[in-house]
Amino acid sequence: MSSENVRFTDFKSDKQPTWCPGCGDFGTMNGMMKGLAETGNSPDDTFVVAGIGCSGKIGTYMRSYALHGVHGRALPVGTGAKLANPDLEVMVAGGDGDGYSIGAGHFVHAVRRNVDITYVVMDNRIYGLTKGQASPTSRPDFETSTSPDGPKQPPVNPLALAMAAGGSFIAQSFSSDALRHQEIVQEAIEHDGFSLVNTFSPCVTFNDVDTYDYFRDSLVDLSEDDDYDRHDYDQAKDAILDADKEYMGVLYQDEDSTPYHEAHGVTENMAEIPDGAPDGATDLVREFY
Amino acid sequence: MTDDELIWRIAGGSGDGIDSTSQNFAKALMRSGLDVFTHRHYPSRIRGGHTYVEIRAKDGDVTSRGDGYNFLLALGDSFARNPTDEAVYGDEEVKPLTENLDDLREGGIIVYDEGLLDEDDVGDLEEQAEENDWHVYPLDLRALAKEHGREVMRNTAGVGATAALVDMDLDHIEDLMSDAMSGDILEANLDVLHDAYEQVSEMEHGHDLTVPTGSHDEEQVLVSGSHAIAYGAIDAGCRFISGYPMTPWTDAYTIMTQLLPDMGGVSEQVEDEIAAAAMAVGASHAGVKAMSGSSGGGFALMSEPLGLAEMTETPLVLLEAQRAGPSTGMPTKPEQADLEHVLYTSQGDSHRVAFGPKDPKECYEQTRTAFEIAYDYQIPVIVLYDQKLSGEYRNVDASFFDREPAPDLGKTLTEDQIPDAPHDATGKYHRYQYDVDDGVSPRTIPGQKGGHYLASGNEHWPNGHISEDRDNRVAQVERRLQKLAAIRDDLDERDQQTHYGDEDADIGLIAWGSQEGTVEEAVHRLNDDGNSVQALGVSDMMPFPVDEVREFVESVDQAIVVEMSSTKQFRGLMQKEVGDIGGKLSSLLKYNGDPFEPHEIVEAVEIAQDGGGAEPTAQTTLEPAAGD
Repeated sequence: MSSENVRFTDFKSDKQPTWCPGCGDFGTMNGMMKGLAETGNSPDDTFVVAGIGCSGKIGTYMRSYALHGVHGRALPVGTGAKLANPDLEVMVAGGDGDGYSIGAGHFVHAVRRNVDITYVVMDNRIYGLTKGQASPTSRPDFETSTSPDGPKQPPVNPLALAMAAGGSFIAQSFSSDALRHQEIVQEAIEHDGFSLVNTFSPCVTFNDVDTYDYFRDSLVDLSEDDDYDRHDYDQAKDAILDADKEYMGVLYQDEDSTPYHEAHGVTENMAEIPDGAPDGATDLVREFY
Repeated sequence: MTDDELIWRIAGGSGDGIDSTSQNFAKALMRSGLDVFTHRHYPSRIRGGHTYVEIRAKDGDVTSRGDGYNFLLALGDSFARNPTDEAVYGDEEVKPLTENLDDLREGGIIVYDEGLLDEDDVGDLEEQAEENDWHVYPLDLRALAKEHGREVMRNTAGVGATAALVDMDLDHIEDLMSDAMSGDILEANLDVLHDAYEQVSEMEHGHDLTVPTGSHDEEQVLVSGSHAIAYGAIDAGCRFISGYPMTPWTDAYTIMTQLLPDMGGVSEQVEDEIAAAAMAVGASHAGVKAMSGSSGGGFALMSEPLGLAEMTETPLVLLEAQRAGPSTGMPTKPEQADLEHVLYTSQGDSHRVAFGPKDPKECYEQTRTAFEIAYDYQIPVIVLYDQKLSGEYRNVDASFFDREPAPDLGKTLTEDQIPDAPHDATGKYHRYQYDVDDGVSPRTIPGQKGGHYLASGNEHWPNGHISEDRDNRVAQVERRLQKLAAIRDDLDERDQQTHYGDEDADIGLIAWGSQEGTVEEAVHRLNDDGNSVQALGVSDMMPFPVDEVREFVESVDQAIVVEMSSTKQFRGLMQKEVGDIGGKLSSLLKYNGDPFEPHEIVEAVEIAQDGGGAEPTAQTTLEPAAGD
């Protein structure tokens, strides 16, 4: 049902986001809307699923089919919808708490299930909506109200988690680099399989460490490195595990991976499967004569 | 002894083929025109350990497992002895010959495999046999099977011995074996069957027990509660299930997984029960009829997605196969103590429906109804059953399943209707409209043109956007509650409660779910003996059939609530929902892991008639009325 005349503003609702002025989520959402429009999707064939937190509110600010669910469970909901109707463009949005803490179990299994959905994580390395507690991606010495001496634990490396789970598309973007962010989201949508886009989306109110300036100064854009081959597993592994540098771009892509629908032969919109008499069930009853 | 029924217990080790042997034997009895009812007892382990299946066969309505048993086929636990011929599990090796031996009726038959079981290990078997007029036939089934090649065929030898002892024709057994096996394996098994039959026929018999003659003329099928649930779901149009294994819900989940792929459906095993229910919510939201389920511990994890389905008004069917709790409890034993958990788990006010079917037929019916209600009213519906019903096989008229499928998705707009439906200024569909019939606002399905909207677990405006506005809150809460009132009216027409016995009786029994059939049998037995008793079996657990239950309780002097729960959850539900009836309610409780037997209910009624006092048995509790 894709339309050629869809513009990114068609994905925008009339609700002004309640995000703080300057929040990275504005840029992250804009890139998602542009990516959806550029790949020929329309609000009626798109299903945006989100969880809880600042990121969870995205379904109100966007215009499409959307579901604003419970904390950490956006991936299984989005997976269920995509399995039921492979024609839907399913995009799941979440924060670092939603995806890598309370929903970490679902994250790992969504990656290995390789259902063709796009997962954009607005990673601000803090819990914003609950007013500034440590997140699983916070630095070990990051002092907050509930971790006065810092979490004292190494942060989760989501890209490494995805790789360990057999991820077929692993990317990182930055909300304020609008063009690159949009390009990466677009590639994620086009990828045939589960795509992770970890998007640095700074919290201007509670995080004074992982700021716009920090990301602007430190992120290395892999698209500028001619020697980097995203299809090279070992090279990707080195970049993902690099303790000294943080990267932007598509770090790894396996274009030959088999997405769920292909592996399981589930290619039809189940809502349209003819209802006819369930012969299989009758046969099974017969076994018990 | 003149039993008009055979209650055959086959006992041995887990993994020794007790299940499949008993299933075929039950089918053979069913094919001879008898009613059959199976009861399964097994431990939570893969190999070894004591397991048994009882098959009750009788001419005419069988609604419970019956009292005790009158035929024991003790095969012995091959795993406990093999390969070293040494016992590995202490006294477990003789359990097939000892566990619940007290329940063997006077005049009963014992056949045991002397190749694996040593009568001397049992101690006083001979003495007990004499005392109870038991007829003991030691047979070396193991050697007999080995003679024909394979030791596993000792089950077949046991069946042959049984048939010879109770004068049962071998025709149906042979037919069933020919259906399941072929070639050399079939030949060897038939030889073992005939050998055992002949050897035992030549022995001297001192017992009276024979297999009754059946008179069913309509074709029957043998179906468990789990099968019936799966057929009901399929016939209701369900094409999606997501789950995580847990005993005993795995039974139904496995059957659905076998069925769905051939009809274009999907079964997905996921990481945990939160994901299981959440994935079913996603699938249902996207327009397919979807279900998930678990047993108590897994269902606990589902409370979040359950609440999400309630708030977003996403149709959803969940199964809950109860087992004895709390926590891990007794994984393979039944109880009815997840009732409150299922009715009230998840934060906020409950907006859900729950049914408690009593037998495989009701499992089929009420699973269909569950899908109809879920999709017609956009609400989660839970089918609450238990370990007993899950694996309980009953014969059902084959024609019972010749039913039209009902795949309707409920109140859903077509693309043609969408343009005329209300939208907000930016074109978002008003999915949650205030003034709608029965409180049900029509759905659109993602992918439908012009129908996009937000579904939110937050309280929301008609277009789904988050709202904490007071007037909107009250309007949405009241609309959702209106659905429950409409569902109660709908259920009244479907009449899922069952009345038994004499309507003028002063003593009433009330039960729900898997214990209902046992109460039914007790009522008939009491009334046949000149008492006057009636009973009500309740299936609608939420919304509760308040008027019907009140009317029943008001019509009797005292009502005994029969349930497998130590904290009287069902009685509590009745008192909460119906109100001022506590003074009439007493409780008959059982929580030892074994379902009620009819005689326990009969005894409790007799004690109640005499004004209470003594405990009915050591394993049940009769608690008097305590007011509201």
